[in-house]
Amino acid sequence: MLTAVDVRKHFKGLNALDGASIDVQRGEIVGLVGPNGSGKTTLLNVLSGFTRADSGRIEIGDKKIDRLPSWEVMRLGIGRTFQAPQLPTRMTVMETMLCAAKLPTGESLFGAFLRRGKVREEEREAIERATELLTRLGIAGVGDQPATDLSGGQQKLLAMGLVLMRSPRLLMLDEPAAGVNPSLRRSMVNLLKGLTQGNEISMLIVEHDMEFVQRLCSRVFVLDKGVVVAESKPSELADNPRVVEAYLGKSRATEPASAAPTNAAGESR
Amino acid sequence: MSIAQVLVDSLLRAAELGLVALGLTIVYSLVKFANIAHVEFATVGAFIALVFAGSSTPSIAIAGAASAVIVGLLAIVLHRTFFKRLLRSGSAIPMIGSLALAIVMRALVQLSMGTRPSSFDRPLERAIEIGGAFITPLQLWLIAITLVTIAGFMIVLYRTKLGRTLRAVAANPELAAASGINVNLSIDLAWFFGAGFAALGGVLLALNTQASIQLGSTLLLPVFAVVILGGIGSPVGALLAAILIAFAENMILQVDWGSLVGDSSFYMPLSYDVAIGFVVLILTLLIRPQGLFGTAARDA
Amino acid sequence: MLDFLLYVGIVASIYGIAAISLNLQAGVGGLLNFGQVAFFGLGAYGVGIASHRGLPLWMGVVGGIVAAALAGAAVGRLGRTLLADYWAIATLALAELLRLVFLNEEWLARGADGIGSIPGLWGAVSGTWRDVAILATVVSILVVVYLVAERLTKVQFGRVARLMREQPNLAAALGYDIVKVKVRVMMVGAAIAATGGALLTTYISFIGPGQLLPVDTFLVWAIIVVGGMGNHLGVIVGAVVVNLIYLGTRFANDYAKLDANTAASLRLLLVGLILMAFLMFRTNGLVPERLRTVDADGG
Repeated sequence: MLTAVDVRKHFKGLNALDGASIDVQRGEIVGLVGPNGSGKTTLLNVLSGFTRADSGRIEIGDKKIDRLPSWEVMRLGIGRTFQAPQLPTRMTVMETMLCAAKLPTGESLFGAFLRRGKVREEEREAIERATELLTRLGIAGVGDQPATDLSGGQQKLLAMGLVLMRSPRLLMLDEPAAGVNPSLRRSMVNLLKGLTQGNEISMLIVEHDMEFVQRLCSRVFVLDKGVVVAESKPSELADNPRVVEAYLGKSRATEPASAAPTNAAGESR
Repeated sequence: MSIAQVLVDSLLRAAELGLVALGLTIVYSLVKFANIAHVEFATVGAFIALVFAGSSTPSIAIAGAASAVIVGLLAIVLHRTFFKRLLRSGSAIPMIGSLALAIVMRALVQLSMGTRPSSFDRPLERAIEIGGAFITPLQLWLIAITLVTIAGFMIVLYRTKLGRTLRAVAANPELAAASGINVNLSIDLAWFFGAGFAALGGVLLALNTQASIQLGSTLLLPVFAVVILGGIGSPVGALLAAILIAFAENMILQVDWGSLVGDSSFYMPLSYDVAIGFVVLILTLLIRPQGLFGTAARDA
Repeated sequence: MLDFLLYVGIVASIYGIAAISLNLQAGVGGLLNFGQVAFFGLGAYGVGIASHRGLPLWMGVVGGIVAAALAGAAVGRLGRTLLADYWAIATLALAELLRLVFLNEEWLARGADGIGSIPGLWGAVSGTWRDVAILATVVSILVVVYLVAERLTKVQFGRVARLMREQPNLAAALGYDIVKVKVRVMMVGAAIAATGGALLTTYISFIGPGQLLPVDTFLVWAIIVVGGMGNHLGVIVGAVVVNLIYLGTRFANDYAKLDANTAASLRLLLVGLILMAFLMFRTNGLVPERLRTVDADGG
């Protein structure tokens, strides 16, 4: 589904990615973990076309995506979330969901004025779908509120709803569980697990929360200083000395997993 | 026209643009929004100096210096009362605000000074000849003062603690604040220097020609072209870009474009000289937005 | 007195059209266009040049609108490479460049002299009745422009633009080509501005480079901020308010016997200060943008 080989990205004297290689098979949920500043978000940005890599080969399906702008990559059936959900302040939840829907007649100048019936029909269908999704995510009934009026956890769910509206075949999530309370985290796990039934969706999840990763991912890549230092099943991570070293480091005292990460210096968006 | 004269004219024009551009590049690098009203500091500076100056050179010099200080302080006040507030909403609102401020400043100058341009009370000078080019002593002073000021500021910027502080705030305000730097004070100082230099530039320009309400606005786009070509935050960039653009402006008028246009002889109309600045501006933004010496583009 | 009121009504309506144009670009699309006057001018010059060459007026109008739309598309494409305030500076530069071209290229539109005696609308009608007819025409067009803008803002076209305005990354993540959205918004905005320009020329029967000065861009910005960025009705209110201010200073001017330049500066000073005040204390304007709820029927 997704293959990335030897990706390198250099920022202002910092090697954010120094030859990272990962892959995601169809229907798999793959985790990407690593200490703060290891380059996880950068890698995600490169894989989704939001940052251009300096070198490396990246393929989604069979298509090389290294030269494509972000929206073209997304149109290949990719969906992604951001570490901080980038929701509009002056639009309602429902309008935001509609942005994620395919409403070609309403988008065109011609259609907006001369095919009003079709516009209405498309919107009606989209609203139905959106309502259904919002209910499934547990945030029904907030359709008319400004998107940013929702709580942090609800905003994360909305962000997920937005990606799901587009029925992606590959989902890239950037720290979906960060700042989310435990019970909500559990529902997220169940929701995401449900999506991959029957090989519908593949996922790449960047996370700090090890429990989240353990329950969801079949495979985990560990990133440290821009390189993949380990790839294994979640249960075997703690036994891997390279992993332990990456997190505890020789001089670093960072603890993996617990607190919600702030925007780490050195990790760009 | 001889090549020597073109060079002299270019240096003169570069000096005209240089100080104002130096001011803009300093402020822009710290407050991070495009201040359309910056060039009006030059206009205001010129008129304030005009009001206080007599006809003797020392009185003009003192008036000029005093004007620069007054305008510098004015800029700090404007920042604290107006721009600081607007900056809370991003970089778009301050820019709109600067458009409004520019109009207000120009209107105030017109209301207090009238529409007719005024000149400093100075005797006409005789041009001296240097290598085939004519230049007046005042113009030599103009160029000299500009060069010295830019050089002096570069020393401050790269060799003093103050300069290091300013550069730190320009590069990363949060980090600077975390290291204990008083960011607000740095920004105030940037405004002071920025507007002060612009005022000085305005005074020199008015000395060379005259003080008019349009003094600043005719400089607006060429100065922005200089700042962007040179790279925001780089005094040496501003200097170099000023020379390049000034030279290009003059060359565009000198060259006989006849062969290109299929005419026997074709010279660019005079008022197109500023057009070269605009074209340079747009090309720079398209090809290399960080300019010659600026830090890399602001987005990954 | 009536003539003067008609004049203000017509001018306010034309400014209203220009305001809706900028509102679409800046209020809805988040595009900081500081060279708005260029689109307006292309429409105005379209009519002028057509008249000058003996072509029918409607050709001039269409020509101006098409030229403006193309210019809008070109400027929108620049948005790919340029960050917001750099793009704004570029629009300022391009507008000035256009003015210089019209000023210098005598063959194009008579340079600094401009083109006069343009047969306007309702030429057959004379005196005050002509102004009434023009007012009716302009107001009707304003209403149409308003409805067009409202419709576009409400449907997906406007929705995507509004999202792009606030969260371009999210818009890209949802598969929208940001540049294409910018281009389309700019084209529509430019076409509307050109319409306003064409109307102005047919009213005052004259066009010259003096109509393309940056101060007109400033006035339209003042109108949309004071009126309410993002709200099309709001900016119409803004156009009325700003023009009433002009009306007010005109009376004060007659009373105090000020000369034309002083009066002009006072007007600009007043509008400028009001804009500054609104930016400081009420960025939403008099009639803020309202949150759009979607009714279950859609469309």
